[in-house]
Amino acid sequence: MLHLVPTLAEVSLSVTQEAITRYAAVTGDYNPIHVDPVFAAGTEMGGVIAHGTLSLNLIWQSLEASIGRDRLPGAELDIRFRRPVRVDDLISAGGILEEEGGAYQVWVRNQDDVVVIEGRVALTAR
Amino acid sequence: MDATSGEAAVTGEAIHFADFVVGKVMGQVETPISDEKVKAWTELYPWDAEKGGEAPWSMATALMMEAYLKVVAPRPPGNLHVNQVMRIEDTAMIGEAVTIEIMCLAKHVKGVRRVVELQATGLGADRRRLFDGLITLYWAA
Repeated sequence: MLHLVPTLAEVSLSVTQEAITRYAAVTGDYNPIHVDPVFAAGTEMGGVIAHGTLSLNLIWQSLEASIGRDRLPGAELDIRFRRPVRVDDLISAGGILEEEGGAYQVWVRNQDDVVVIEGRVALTAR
Repeated sequence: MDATSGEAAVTGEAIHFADFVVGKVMGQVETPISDEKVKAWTELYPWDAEKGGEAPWSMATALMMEAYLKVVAPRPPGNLHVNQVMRIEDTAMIGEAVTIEIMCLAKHVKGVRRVVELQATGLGADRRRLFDGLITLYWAA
C-alpha cells in the first residue's frame, strides 16, 4: 500500500513568448504556430499557442515535488490535451489522490480555472 | 489538442496517413543530455534542477517530442496531438546519450479523423529503459 499525500503541490508557470521560444529551442519544435505571431494569427488558432508538452511537464514536476523523485520510477501518466495555452497565460498543475489510492487525477489549468490538460498518473508500489 | 507539426512550408513530400505502417520502426534518434540542454531546461523551469548529476525527470516528454519531430518528418500542416501516455522508469545522467526509437503502433479512422499512435521508447547509453511514450495524433492528410 502506497502512502501518498492527498493533494499534489501546485506548480505554476507564466507562459510568456520567451518561455515558448525557450521550449522550442529545447525540443527543436519551431512550428510557427508556437513562435511566429504573424503566421499564427492567420491560423484557426487565431494566435500563438504554447507547445502542449510545455504545460504537460508541469504535471511531472508537481508529482516530483509532492512525492519525491524516488517514487517516480514506474509512474504512468495518461492525459488529454483539452484546450490551447496562449501567450501570457498563467498555468498551474496539480492533482488529487484517488479514493482507492495509488493514482492521482491530474490537471493543468489556466488563470481562468479552465482545464487545459487532464488525466491520471498511476504509481507503482515499490 | 496541441498543434504539433509544421503549418508553414513542408520540405519534400509530407508523410501521409497511408504511409504509416503499423509495427514499423520509423527511426531512432540519439540525443546527448548536455550541460547546455539541462541549463536551458532549468532556465525555463527553475524549480526543476538536476540532482546528483541526474537530468530532470520531467525532461523525458521533451526528449520524446524532439525525437518524434526528427523521425516523423516532413509532416503535413494541421496535425493535432490529442493524447499522451508516458511511463517513466529512470532518467539520464548529464552527459549521457539517450536513444529514442519511434514506432508506428496503430492507426485507424474515427469519423472524419485519421488517428495515428506512435510509440516512443527511450533507452540510456547502457540500454536501460528510461521511458515509454504513446503519442496519439489526429493526422491532417
